[in-house]
Amino acid sequence: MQLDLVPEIVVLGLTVAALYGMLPVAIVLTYRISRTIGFVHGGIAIFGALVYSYLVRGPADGDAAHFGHNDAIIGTTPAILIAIAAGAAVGIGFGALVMSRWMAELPGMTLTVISIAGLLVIGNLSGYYIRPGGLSITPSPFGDGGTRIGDVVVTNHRLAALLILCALVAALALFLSRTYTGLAIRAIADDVEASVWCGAKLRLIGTGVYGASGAIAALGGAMYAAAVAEPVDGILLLLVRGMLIAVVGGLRSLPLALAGAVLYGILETALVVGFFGDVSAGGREVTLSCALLALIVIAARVRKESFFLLERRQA
Amino acid sequence: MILEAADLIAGYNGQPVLHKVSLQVAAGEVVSLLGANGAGKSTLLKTIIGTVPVIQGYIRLEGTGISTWSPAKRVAAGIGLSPEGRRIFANLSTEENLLMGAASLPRARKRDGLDRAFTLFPVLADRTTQKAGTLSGGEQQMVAIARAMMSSPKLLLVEEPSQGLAPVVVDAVYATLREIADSGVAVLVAEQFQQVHEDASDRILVIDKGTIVPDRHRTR
Repeated sequence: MQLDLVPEIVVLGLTVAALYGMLPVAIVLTYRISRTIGFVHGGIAIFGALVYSYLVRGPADGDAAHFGHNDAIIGTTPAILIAIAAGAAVGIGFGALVMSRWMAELPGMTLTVISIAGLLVIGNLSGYYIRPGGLSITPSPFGDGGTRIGDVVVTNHRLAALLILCALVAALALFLSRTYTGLAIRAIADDVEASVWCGAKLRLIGTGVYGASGAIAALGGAMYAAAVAEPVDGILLLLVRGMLIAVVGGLRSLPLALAGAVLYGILETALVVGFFGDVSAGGREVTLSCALLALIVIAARVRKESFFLLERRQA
Repeated sequence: MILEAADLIAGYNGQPVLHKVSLQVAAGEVVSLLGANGAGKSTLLKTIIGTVPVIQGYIRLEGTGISTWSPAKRVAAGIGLSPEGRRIFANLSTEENLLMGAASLPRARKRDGLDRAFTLFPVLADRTTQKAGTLSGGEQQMVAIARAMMSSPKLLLVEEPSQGLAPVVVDAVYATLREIADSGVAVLVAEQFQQVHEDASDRILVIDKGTIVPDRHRTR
């Protein structure tokens, strides 16, 4: 092990965690409301990534000579805001559908399948109709520059992603603990039927939560698009990892999901930079998955839940 | 009359569980609804609060038809439910549980609701920050009733309040229900036969196979 790499691994790992952490936040939020895993957020993240890329790179016109030209429709800041708003709109639409009286009472498994269908439909339609061209790499809303932290230089984009994620989790934690709507969301997570008997407006709150989580998923997708060359394929892997990270917090805890993202980001960075020696790509995935599984079991023990997320009976 | 239900047919997925149920509950009255498991008590209460759809017949609250209203609108109009098994929010604090019962109230009136709850059940004032799931069975029942009372309901529906409680606690719960009724609230209590508190009830109705049994009404 090369201990001199530790500071670099921690700093870079945290910024990687930021990219991995946004989808779990969206997944945790909607799980609290619907008790289903939000596969649809993967589709919304792809949609957000493509909307943002399209707006800042312009349309693909099939002209090879045009490749590399900047045909930006608008600037990066308005583009990311539009991507977030569009993600929120898609989230609201999906939320209105699954919280409607025709669907809300369907079994959880059926709703999960509908969520998978949402992922496929939104992801594929986005990929078919929204084709960014121009620049090969999507520019970041936070510029190309970097910031030195100790001996490590981090791109402003990744640093901003980390700050946004921390601010997001803090804001959501405050919202959930300090507002009546937040209280209703936590109550719904505890007992949906009892919250309805208390007068909670389940459809309205549920649709709103889907809207907020759609906005977060689109933001996550747009931020990811500006960090990698081929975001669409990567987002599906991001979604799978995001689900594992969300399970660390029992699909209910935002801070634990954040902790899962941090562990994942740091461990992945350690593996990539060779902290544990030369590990193949497959070996990295196995190591990362085992580490997350161990964290899930430990977190479940600490939270006094069974491995399958069922509350233990009180003695 | 606070609650009027007439010729009520209601059930799940279009399949009736209640068959032409009619009942009335007046302000200040405690009406006990007795029945065995599966007799339709729970379905009737859920139909009144709005989570089981009315197929035929009507429900009126103070003369206003509410059969098609959402549960949230019914709660805001003055119906509170303390459900079977308490169904408190185990991971929320006692105070948060109570505040959930005031979801339909404007912010300024939520504090009044808390004061009222602590007047009804003073022991809860010492448990405000305690997670409701860690309260004793009796205290959880108090939270469930107090939560239903948070929105100042005109009609309080209480389902099996004595379930799993020691007799002395049951007496205290029924004394509080009597107190609530005496303040002008109409109280409808659903209980198993063996749990009936005749002294605390102004009238007793018996429900069997989704129908109120006419010749088994009793009045105190």
